Amino acid sequence: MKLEKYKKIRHMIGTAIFSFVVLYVGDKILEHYIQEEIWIKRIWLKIFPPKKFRNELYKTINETIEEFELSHPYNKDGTQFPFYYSQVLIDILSNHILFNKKQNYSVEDIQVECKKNPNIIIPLKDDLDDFFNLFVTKTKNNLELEDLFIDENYKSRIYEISGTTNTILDILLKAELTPEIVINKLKEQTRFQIDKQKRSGKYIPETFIETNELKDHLRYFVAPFLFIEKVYDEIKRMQFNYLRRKLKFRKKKEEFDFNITDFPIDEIKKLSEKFDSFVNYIHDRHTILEKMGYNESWTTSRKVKQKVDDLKYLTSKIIILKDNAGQGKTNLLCDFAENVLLKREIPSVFFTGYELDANDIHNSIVKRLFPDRNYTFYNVISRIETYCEENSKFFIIVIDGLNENSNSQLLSQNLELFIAELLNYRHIKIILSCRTEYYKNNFDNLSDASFSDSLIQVDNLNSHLDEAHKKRLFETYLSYFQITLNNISNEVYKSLVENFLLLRIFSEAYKGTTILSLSHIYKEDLFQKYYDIECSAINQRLSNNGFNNNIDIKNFFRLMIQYMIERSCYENIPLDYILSKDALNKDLYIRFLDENILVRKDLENKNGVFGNQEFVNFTFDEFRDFLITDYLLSEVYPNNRQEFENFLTQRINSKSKIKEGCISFLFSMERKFNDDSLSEIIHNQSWYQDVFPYYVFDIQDVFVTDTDKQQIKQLFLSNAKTTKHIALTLAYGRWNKTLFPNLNVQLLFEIFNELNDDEFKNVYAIYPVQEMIGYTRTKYDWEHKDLEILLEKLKERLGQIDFLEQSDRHNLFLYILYFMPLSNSVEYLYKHYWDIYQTKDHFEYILSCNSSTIKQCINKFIRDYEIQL
Amino acid sequence: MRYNYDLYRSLIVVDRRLTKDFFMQKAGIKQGKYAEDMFSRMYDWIFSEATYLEDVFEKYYKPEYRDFRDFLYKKYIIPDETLNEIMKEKNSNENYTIIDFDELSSGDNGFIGLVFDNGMDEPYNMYDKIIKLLLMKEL
Repeated sequence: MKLEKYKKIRHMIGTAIFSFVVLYVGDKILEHYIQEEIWIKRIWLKIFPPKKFRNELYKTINETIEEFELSHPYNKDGTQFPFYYSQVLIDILSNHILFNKKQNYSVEDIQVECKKNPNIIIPLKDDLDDFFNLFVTKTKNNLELEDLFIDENYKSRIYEISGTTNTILDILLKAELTPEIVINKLKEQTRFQIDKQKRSGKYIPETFIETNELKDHLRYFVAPFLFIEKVYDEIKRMQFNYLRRKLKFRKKKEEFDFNITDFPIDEIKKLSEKFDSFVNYIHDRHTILEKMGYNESWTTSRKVKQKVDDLKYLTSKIIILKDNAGQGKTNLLCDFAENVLLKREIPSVFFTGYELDANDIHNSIVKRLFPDRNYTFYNVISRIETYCEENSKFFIIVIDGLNENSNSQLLSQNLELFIAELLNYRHIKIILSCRTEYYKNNFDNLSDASFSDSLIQVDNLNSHLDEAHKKRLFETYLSYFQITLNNISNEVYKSLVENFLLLRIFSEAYKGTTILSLSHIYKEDLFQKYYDIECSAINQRLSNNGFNNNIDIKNFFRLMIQYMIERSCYENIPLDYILSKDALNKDLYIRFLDENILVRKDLENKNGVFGNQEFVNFTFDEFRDFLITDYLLSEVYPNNRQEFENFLTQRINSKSKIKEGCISFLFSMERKFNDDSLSEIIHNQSWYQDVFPYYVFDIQDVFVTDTDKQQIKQLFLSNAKTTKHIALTLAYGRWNKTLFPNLNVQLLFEIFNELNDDEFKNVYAIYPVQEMIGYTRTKYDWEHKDLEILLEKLKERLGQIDFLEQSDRHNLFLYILYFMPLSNSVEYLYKHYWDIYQTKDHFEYILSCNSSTIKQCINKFIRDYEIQL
Repeated sequence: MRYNYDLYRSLIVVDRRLTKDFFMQKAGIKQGKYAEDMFSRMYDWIFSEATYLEDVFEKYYKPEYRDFRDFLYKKYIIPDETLNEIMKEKNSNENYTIIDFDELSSGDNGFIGLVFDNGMDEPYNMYDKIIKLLLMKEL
């Protein structure tokens, strides 16, 4: 009985020693790695009040480690530490030393355990033996330990202490978390998020164009300790001499004082109280200037206002970027994270609204950083604060697309609490982005929250892009998508840079290709190609993300199009409808909506009991019309011709939103079906003849028939608009017979030759006399402005060495010959051309025309310049 | 060389050794005349709040860009050909540098038309003369 009691006490002593070793090692780690963590120490002391036994044990273990370290030095670089500061030691001590299992002790096991943490210096077998032998020897030799322990703790404390072992282990685990480890994890996470956004196509590097101060303001926001010096220097150099000189002439004899000598930069850059006074002073100066309201004070007020804004970004703690869908919020934030946060080594995390758990924002952030560890948000944030304090940096939390969260209402409440709590930390700032309408409906509470003074709201990210910006974006897209484009017509270039969604579609569809010449975009081909590529990529992405392998996202589009056709409703397709039709893929579809650029989720504020409802819309109406047309031709027509015909007759009318897009695609796509019956239905539509002279040029050249060309001839003089369109399209757009072997400028020459003088007046009307305003603001007639512009361009190009290397360009000079009766400039330019090339074929051809005026004019030219035919 | 990159915002290549005295002296300004005040104000108009871009790049923006050219190319969206010209001029003399100049900042806005936009032919066109002065070249 006595023996059993003794054994029990020994066991308790073993457990307790183990606990105290845990305690000790934990303390040692605290001393070494988290010296600022006073609060952890406080908890520790509360659990284990200092006792003699503990001190004695400390002494023993400390002696062990000190002695061991003397004989086994290691590199103290702040990231790696020896095994005896880690949890591995605890396991070893408990299993192999304190519980007398030394015989089972395996060096390999210990080394394997140590390797699990890359920061532990892997011990050699000899190291381990040395350490444990030393420790065990010292413990056994210290007989006082046992007596002290029983005396102090046996009666009540021992169970309590043993019960806290798990807590201590947890704390120990957390103590391994050094600031460096956390900072590296943050970098990894931000890099991962950027790469993810690149893969999903929401971020295209280099396509964010700095057209206004926003990116600089964001720089100021995330790195105020650095940029305060820049802003301060700019403020210091501000001059007010001109204003002061002007104020002297004012009757009121006002003065304007601006003196920042009371605010030395050394004080200001601490961003403390002095900085706040400085901000108030600049703000106050601006108010005074604004109140003056003189012409002379306007520019001065403007520049001080810019500094007030700069300072606001330096001091604020939260920024909310708001804009409509597709306006570049993600692009901006990814660019910013990649080129500013990472390159400047500013600690940051980057989440999408989708990734946040509205119920537990703290944990969803920690779990993304350390998925297999049991750290709390505060474990992580305290390390970051330590790092930021030491390195004069701010920790930036970026949450892109709050609207992507599935529980917006709960997120808005918890986000407000989360932000309010984080603002207690000195070195944390937050950047949020949200779609405008979602913000208004779900997150507006943030605008009135307790931290509203520290909050900046930025609306409308995009500023005006001038021609240089557009060119830069165009070139960047081509470069990013590895497209080599040797020649592009002005019209196509313009259509691409005026509509960047089209440019994006074009770039993705022709990724990695070389295009020799791009003189026309056949949208049905472009959209079809893009649709196939994009759907395939989305399917792959969803599959990689763990969704169903057999998913085809085209089903989502099909459901949308079906809804549209069945209900003649082409906007705001209820999301619930689509989800109800394919409930199995609900999660997948919701994810897809946040990760694509073809369709978007919209919110509509409904009054009454239904509240807000979510809808799905196409981001690009023309793409929607393409899919509707494709569905009509591929699915409706083969199954039910009558239904197809009815839809065309009844739904594609002047009131319909899809009319313009659908008839354009019906026109060009019909040719590919080679189905007379289908063609007949389409050709008989009321709109067909009206659009023919326009849409016939959108058909691929190979599909243009002789009947089409005859019809163009017949319609040429039908009205002034048609005459102009056909003439200019054939002349300017299709002078190149190599690119357009079928429908080209030759048809125009044939038409011209058939026209008599009266009929030709309609052709000359395409170049009307226009007014222009001179330098003195007087209006002048500008003879045939557009013709003169064409001649000017040809003159410029004619001087270029390679202009006429391509024989098709001669056609443009035959074209202008027909306008010789209209302008003397034609004669001068053609004479210049004739002197170089002497193209007799032009005269032979044009002299066979029916216009006697043209023939007279050409004959006179031939005589005047003594041209021998 | 001046590049107007935004409304009333220009980049100008200047000689960083240029002083107000040199500017006035080379402009042939005599003391006490009206021109003295005008050219003094003109110098202040250009330089008092100008930002020396290489200095700013080195101190604040370097981590984000490959080099100074990349900084100008991306931050100021300068077309490649124009940027080549600017850099060629800047690199033609080790003392040449580039300033970012807000034409409205001093408030003395009358100089904008006089120097940059008067549309006059020689000898009334100030632009070439001022540009030469800024590069400390002989007029």
